[in-house]
Amino acid sequence: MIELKGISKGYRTIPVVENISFEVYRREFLSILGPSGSGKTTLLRLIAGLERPDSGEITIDGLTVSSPHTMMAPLQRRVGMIFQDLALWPHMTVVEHIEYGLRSKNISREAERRKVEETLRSVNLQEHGKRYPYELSGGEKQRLAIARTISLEPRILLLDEPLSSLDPLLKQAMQRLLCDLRETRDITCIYVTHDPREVMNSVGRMILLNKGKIERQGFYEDIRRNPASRFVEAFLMGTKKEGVEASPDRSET
Amino acid sequence: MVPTGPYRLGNCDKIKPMVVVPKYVSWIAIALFALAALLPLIFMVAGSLVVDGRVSLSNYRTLLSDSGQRALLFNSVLLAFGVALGACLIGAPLAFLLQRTDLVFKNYLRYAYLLTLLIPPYMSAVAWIHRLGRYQWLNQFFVNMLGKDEAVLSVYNLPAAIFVLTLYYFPFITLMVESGLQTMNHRLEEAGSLCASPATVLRRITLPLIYPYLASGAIFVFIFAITEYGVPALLGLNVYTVVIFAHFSAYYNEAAATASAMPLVAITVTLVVLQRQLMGNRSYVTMESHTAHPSRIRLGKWQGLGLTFSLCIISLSVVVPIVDLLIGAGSLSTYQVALKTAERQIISSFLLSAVAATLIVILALFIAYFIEKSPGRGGSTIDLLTVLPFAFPATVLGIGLIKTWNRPLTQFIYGTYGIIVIALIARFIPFTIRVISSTLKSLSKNLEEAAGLSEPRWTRNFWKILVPLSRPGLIAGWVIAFILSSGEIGATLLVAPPGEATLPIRIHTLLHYGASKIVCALCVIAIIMTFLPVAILVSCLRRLRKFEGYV
Repeated sequence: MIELKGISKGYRTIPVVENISFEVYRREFLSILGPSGSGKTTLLRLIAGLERPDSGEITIDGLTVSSPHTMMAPLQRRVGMIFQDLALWPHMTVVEHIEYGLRSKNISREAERRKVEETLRSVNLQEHGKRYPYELSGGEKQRLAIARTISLEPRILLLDEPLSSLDPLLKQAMQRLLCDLRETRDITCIYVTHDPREVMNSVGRMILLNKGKIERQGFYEDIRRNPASRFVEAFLMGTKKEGVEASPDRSET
Repeated sequence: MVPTGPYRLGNCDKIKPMVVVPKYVSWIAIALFALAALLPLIFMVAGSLVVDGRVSLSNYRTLLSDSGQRALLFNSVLLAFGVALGACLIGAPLAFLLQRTDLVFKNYLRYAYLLTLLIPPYMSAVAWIHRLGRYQWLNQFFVNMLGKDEAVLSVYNLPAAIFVLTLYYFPFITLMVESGLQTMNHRLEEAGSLCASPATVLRRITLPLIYPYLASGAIFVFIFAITEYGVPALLGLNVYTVVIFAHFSAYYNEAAATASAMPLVAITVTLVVLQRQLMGNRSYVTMESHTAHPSRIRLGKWQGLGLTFSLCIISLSVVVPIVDLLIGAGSLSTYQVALKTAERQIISSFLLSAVAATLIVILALFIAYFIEKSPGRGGSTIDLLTVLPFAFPATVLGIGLIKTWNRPLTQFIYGTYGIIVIALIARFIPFTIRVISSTLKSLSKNLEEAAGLSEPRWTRNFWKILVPLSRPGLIAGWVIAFILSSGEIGATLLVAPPGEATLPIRIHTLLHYGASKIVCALCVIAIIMTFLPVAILVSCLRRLRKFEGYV
């Protein structure tokens, strides 16, 4: 279980997330939703160990991994992350992307080769092993980013708006792939998006962020029926009502 | 992998958890840079304040009371200003023609104008001395027929020095302005063109947007010209760098040499700070454009004028000097004699430039990484310190190096080629740091973070991720450092151990006997020696374009 207790983080004098507390259960698919600049990506980076919180504590399975004075390295947390821009290395082929992380695992070359094949098959990229990222389509790139991450068998998979640039059909296909992966592997997923349509069909819980604070959390249908605030109602409806304003559009950090 | 429990980093909350290069590695590189480039400057300034073993300002008092200082300052500033202005007048229109118009052959012209950088300014001066030497009969004619007191066509004056240096330094302006034109958001111009004429868009939108690049390039060229030693020395000008050298080598007065450099240093340091303010976070060199291609201006009937302008510049800066040197050298037998005369210097120059360029790139990568990954005062302080050596004339740096390294304990460096390598590092690392910084700035931090999430060893992330991703900047940085090192004369002339001269020093020495055939042949050999590795690396850089847009 992942637990965030009173997490705050700011850059210089600007608070980005303030006093955030929530839990994520094992094998859960949690969506974090919010407008641009609401602190979604920062929250994800704090869980991954890419940022240190100013206050509060993050625990994974009861072990403190982040606090203002304690920091466990990202790799030790067994956390995988899929970045918004995918962060594929342009000078490496598909196979090299998968091999790169496996090389640090002290497994035999034969086991490594089998693992690469198995991973590529699971995302249907086995035919493209020798291609470079620039030779892949948008959907194939997404699958490569997922393959690179799951090959390291993370306990927690963090997804930072990875589907935002895909067309609706590809988006659906990738969502199906993510669901399959979660069911077949022991992975807890935290999925960040600014698009309410991406979480409409999600069976898991969602957290709605606004201006660095939790505005609402629960299941999509429950929140939609009982939004509890004009912001939540307006955001889920995808329209702005008078007097309701999302946080200022500052760049995601 | 099972979590082994949290480890404490102590009170270090400013440290970013995910960096490929650990800070201590960057600090080692910064310390080596300080040893090579900053320590000599400190020794030099401190030395100017000591007279007969006591702290004294008498050197500066002498300097202030010297009536010749004003003329010296005037000459130096006039030379630098003339070169900067001339380079802007040539370089900026050329950049515009190459970037924004449908000028014919512009891809070839782009490579051609960059060839200028392969011909060090002192060689260009040699070529011009040689050429005007051929017109002695014309000068004689003017003297005899028109009753003139002195030669009409002469290279031994300020306008000639401005002319020669302008033709060498204009590519710096062209490169900077091209970089500005490539990186600016072209939608801004398109939005302007919907409501104003092309001339108004150029005046009100394009020029203000590229102004920092143009002004910054002009400052660069001004500093280059005011700290230039080779050309003013060859053409016998009374400027600061020549006087500093004379104080040191002719009168053995280190303190006076250093003190007389101070007005120059005050000007250049001010300009360096101003230049950094102007550029802010902008990139100095663009490896590739990430923005949409702008619409090209159709030159139409102006095509001929544009082409003539570009060809004239390239002819004067590249073709004419090379042809002059080739004519000056004459037959192949001259090259054989030249090779025999300076075989040792040719080999040592090539190897020293290659070794210095490689060390410069290694140090520059770690330092640039530190600067880019350290937001706040730490990064900006190191950034400023790395530019400082650029503000000091080469001769001043040479004196500083002698004061620092000429000690019994360090003779194993001072008495060998090692001191030349240190001099080259100190002089040219600022440029390479800027080029590599531009590349690192353009890399998404997610690429490194993805590596950190896959592989715990920084060394592997460094070699397999950071170095390949930075290759365009590393190659460009090496090329720049190699070209500049191959032509360096100001500092190496002072620090080179006896009998261990480089090729530029050999040429400089031979020039005392006039622009002979051998000098011309050695200049041609030096140009070929610089051109070959540069051509190979530039072709490598072009092959890396397949990753364009993904880095």
